[in-house]
Amino acid sequence: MSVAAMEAIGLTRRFGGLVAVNEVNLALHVGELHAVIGPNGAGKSTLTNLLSGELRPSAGKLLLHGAEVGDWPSWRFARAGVGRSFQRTNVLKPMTVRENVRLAAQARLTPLRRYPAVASEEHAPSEAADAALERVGLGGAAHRTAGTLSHGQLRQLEIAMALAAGPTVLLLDEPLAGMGPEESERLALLLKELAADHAVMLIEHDMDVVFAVADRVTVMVDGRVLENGTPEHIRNAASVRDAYLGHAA
Amino acid sequence: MLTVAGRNGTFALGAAALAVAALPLFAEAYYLELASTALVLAMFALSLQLLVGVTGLVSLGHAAFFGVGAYAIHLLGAFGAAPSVLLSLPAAVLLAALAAFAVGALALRTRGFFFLMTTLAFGQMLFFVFHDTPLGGGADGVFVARPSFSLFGLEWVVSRQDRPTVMLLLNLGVLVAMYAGLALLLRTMFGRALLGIRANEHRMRSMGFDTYWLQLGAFTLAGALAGVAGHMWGMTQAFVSPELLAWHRSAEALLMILLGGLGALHGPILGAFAFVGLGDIAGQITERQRLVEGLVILVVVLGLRHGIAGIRLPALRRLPAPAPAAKEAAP
Repeated sequence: MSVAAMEAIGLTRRFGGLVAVNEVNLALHVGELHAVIGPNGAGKSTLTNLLSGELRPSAGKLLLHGAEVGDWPSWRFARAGVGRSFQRTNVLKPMTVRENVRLAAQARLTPLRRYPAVASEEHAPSEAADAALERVGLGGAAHRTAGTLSHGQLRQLEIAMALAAGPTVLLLDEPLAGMGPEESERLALLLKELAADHAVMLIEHDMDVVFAVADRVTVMVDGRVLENGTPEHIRNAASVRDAYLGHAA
Repeated sequence: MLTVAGRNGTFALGAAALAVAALPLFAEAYYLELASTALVLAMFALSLQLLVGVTGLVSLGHAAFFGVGAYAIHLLGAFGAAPSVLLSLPAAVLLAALAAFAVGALALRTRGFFFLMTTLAFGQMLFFVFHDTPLGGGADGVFVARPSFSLFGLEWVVSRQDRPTVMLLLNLGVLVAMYAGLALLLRTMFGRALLGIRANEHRMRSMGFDTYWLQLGAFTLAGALAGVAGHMWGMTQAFVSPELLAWHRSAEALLMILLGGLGALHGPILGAFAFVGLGDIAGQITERQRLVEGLVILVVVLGLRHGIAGIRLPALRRLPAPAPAAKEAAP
C-alpha cells in the first residue's frame, strides 16, 4: 500500500507514572475506515489527542504523509488537513451553527485570504460551511445558536466542523455517542462514504456500527494495541474475546 | 457574544453624536471640555473593548499605551516647535503599537488571572519609566505644546476662544472613526476569529487558528488605538503626566466597559459618558465624590446585567417587527 496518510510508530504518552498510550503502531490510509475500540481507559482518546497535536508524544514517531510532525502545535495539524471531533462536545457556543462551521472552513485559507475579507454569504468558506452542514443533516439549524442545540445535534455539528476544513485525515472520537437511532444510522452511512476519499479513524463503542462500517479494526487495552486486523479477524480473535468482547460475541 | 448595534441602535448613536456636535451652540466652555474628556475616555475604553469584549482578554495594563500615546507629543517636542497633528498622531500610534507588541508578545504567554497580573506589571514598569527617568520630564507631569493644524507650511491657527469647540469636534470625529473602524473589523474574518477565541480558544486552535498571533494582533491594535486616545488627551489638555499610565486608569476603563455593557461594541462609549457625567454631578453635590460614584456603579452593575447598552425601551419592543427572518439572520 502507498504511504500512509498518518502513521504512528511506537507512539507513547506518559502522564507521570501512568502510560496512557504505550508503543502504539497504527497506520491510517486514505480510502480506509479504521476503527479503534477498547474498554474505557484504554487510551483511545489520548491517542486521538496525540494524532491531532493536542498532546505531544513522550516517545515514538508520528508521521503525516511521511513527514515527522510530532512536535507541531495543534493548529498546524488542522491546517495540514487533519480534522477531528471531540468526545466531549467542544464548539463555540455563543455563535451560530453556521459561523462555527465557517470558522473551521476559514482556517484552511492562507492568512492573506483568511482574515481581511468581510465575512459574507458568498464567500468560499460560507459555501463550504453550508455544504458540510447539509452533509451531516444540520442544514435546517444553520442559524441557530450552537449553545441551544440538542446533544445529538451538537455531535453532528462536531462532524460538520471537522469536514468543513476539507481534511484528508479525519479523527472522530465517539461521534455517534448520544445520537438517536435514526441520526446514528445516517451518520454511519456518511462515515462509510467519507472513508472513500479520506483516511478516517473512528473511536466507537457501538460494536454493531464498528463491524458494519470499519475496514480495519485496532483493539486497545491498557494503552497497548492488543490486536489489529480486518473486522473478521478481530471478531474471531481469541485474545480480543477474552479481553474485551466477552464470550457471547 | 459581543454585538454591534443594529439599524435602530446605530441611528440612536448617530443622533447622540449629532447632539454632542451641537453642544457648542448652547453650552459653556466648561461643558465642552467635559464632553471632550468623555470622548477621549470613550476612545480609550473602546480600544480596551477590543481586548475584553471581543477577544476575551482582560488587561490591567492598557493605560500604559494610553500614556505612551500622550507622551509621544512631549517626546516630539524635543525636536523643536509644536509638531503638526499629521505627524504627532501617527507617531503616537506607532509608539503605542510598538509598546503593545512588546508587552503583548510576553504577556500572551499567560492566561486569565496571570495575564491580568502580567499586564499590570508591564503597565507599572512603563509608568515608572515616565515617572522616574528624564524621558518623561518629571513625576509631576509636563506641559506640552499642542500639535498644530499645519500641512506643508500652511497653518490653521485656532484661537483660545474657539479651542474647546474645535477640540470637541475633532475628538468626536476621531471617536466616530474608531467606532466605525472597529464595527467593520468585527465583520471581517479577522474579527470573527477574535470572537471565536473569546468563545472557545482551545477549539479555535484545534480548528487551525494560531491563536497566539491573532491575540497579539488584537493586543497591538488595541494598544495603537489606546495611543490614539492618549494622543487626543495630550492634545486636548496640553499637559501630560505619569498618572496617565497608572493602573487605576486601566481599572477605570474596565469599569466603563462594565458600566456601559460588556456585550456591545458601543458599551464603553456609553460607559465613559456615564462615568464622566456621574463624576461631575457627584463632584458638584458632595465632597465624597468617589463614594457616590462607587455606589452608583455598584447599583448599575448589580441591576443591569448587560450594562447601559442592555437597557431596552419596552414600548419600542411592541412595535411589529419589520421581518421575522431578520432576527434569525443576525450574527
